[in-house]
Amino acid sequence: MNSSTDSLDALGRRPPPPGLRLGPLLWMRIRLFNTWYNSLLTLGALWIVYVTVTGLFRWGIWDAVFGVTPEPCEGIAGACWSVIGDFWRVFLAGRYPMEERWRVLAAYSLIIFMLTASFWPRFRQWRWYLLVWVADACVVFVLVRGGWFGLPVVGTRFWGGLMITLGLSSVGLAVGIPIGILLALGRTSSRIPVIKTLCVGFIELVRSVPFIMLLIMSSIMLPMFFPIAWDMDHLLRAQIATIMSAAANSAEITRGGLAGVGVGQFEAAKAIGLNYWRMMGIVVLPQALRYMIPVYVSMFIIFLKDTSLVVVVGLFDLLGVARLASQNPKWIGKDIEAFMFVAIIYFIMCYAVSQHSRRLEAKYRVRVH
Amino acid sequence: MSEKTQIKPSPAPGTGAMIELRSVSKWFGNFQVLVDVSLSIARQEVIVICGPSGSGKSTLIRTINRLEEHQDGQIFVDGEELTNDVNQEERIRTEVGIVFQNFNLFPHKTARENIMLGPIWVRKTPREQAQNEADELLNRVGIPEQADKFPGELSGGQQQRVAIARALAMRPKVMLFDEPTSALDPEMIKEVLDVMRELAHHGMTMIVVSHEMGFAREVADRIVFMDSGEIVEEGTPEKFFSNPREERTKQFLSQILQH
Repeated sequence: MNSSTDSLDALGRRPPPPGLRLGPLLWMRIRLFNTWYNSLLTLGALWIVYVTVTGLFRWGIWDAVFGVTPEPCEGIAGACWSVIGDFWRVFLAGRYPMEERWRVLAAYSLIIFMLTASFWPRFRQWRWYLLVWVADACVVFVLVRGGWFGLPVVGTRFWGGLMITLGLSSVGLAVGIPIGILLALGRTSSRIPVIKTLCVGFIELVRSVPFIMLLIMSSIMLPMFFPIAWDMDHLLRAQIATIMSAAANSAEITRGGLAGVGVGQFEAAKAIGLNYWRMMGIVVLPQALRYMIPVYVSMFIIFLKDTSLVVVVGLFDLLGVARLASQNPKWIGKDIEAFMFVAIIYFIMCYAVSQHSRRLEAKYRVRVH
Repeated sequence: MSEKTQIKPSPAPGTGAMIELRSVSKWFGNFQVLVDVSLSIARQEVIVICGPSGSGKSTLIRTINRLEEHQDGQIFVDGEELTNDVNQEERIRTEVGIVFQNFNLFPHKTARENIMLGPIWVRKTPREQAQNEADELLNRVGIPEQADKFPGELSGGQQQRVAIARALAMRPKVMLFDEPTSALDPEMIKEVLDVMRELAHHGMTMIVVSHEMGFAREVADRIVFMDSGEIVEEGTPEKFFSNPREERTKQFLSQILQH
């Protein structure tokens, strides 16, 4: 029986064998209900999903109240989202003075604009990219803080909410990661014992201390290193702690990534006469970094959530504002709504970041072989 | 430095031997991998080093561009003695090119960019010129159309030819080849050997570690046989293959020429 030429299509290709394309019913039968215990588990899981989703829907949307005053919320079974309606400005801008709120809005718009513009192909050259982001960061800082161009100063005491969460984590990572890479290089390659010891010492010290301790220690101890008269900005103290943590963790991540680059790459780079920094910067680190993308993204997500600890040093990030809102006499008992709102914001941010990471991984073909 | 080493003045660069090794020894921990090796390679000479695995052949040529450091003896590259000086290391490496067994191309750069990297960053060649030279070299090794491909998209033979072009881009005085065809399929060995043959005919000083006896017989000026870290025998191909003196050489040749 010569079926080799019969089943070819117009382009001369053979269609896939039957049975490989599953309809949904067949898929369910094979995957979900193939054995009695799998069927039980499926039904159990479906029941849990049903109860959870309908419960959440009923509480959060169907029976909920959306307003700005606490009165309509008396004795309802659902959520009282009015706490958000009342406090949303504080969530976004803290205790920023009313008249200057437009500056925060402008800063947020700039950031969103930059994020969307990042996907524009023109920005692919990394020098451009870096320049524009640094310029953007400066403009945002000037806008929010004031003191130049006729803008009145708004001290960090008035900042709060999402501003602090985003600011602490992004600046902490933006400054901490390059420092971390340098530390990793100093730890692995330095022929000078002093540099090696300092790097190892710093990395191990910072990593062995819980982040919350780092925050507390930097809040209390940092002012001691500087002249008594300078009351170091509280936000700055927390920022230094985040930078240190980012640097130490990033150093270890980088060291792991470096170990994954084959020794042949180092040899080939040396063999054409590249010096140490060029070898690292042009040949080794680009290869190492592409494997570290998933790890760095995890670090960013963890960082974003860790900044919520600054509430113990008196700063009001997103979580701090949620606690503030729920402890306000008007809104006693409305904790769940406030925290759920914050949870949703965190989820949106983290999900966006991990989606971006998937795109990056696909682009650089980072795969488990 | 051991007592045996004569303190001979090194010849001025441009004259004398291109590479000279005097009583070079190297240890990996307690294991001596190079035992008192002395070898002199003249300009435009093509040397093939052969021997059983573990004999120290690869280590030997890697000491010449200081990918390995020797503990005893002296090595001279064009009259200049190799020392621990980092600047000298980098400079010598621009004059000594090397081609590795597993190519070691930079996977995140295209073939052309691989070749351009050295001239741009080390010799400070302007980008345009480096690009033209890279294209010329790709043409010379026979794969001009692969310029924009990444190493992962090339076959083994093509990758090795790009590696040779990359080493040539630095205009070295000497080319070292560390078993360049050992990782290649038989069909691709010929294309790489052709490139090496052409290089030899154009007068490049070459030190090749290889098992390709056909290539050795045809192109080499001298064949060196190493075993257990020492040079056992060396001679012209005619003498080497037809009339080996040492027992170990005869044994090795009988094994390798069998198939």
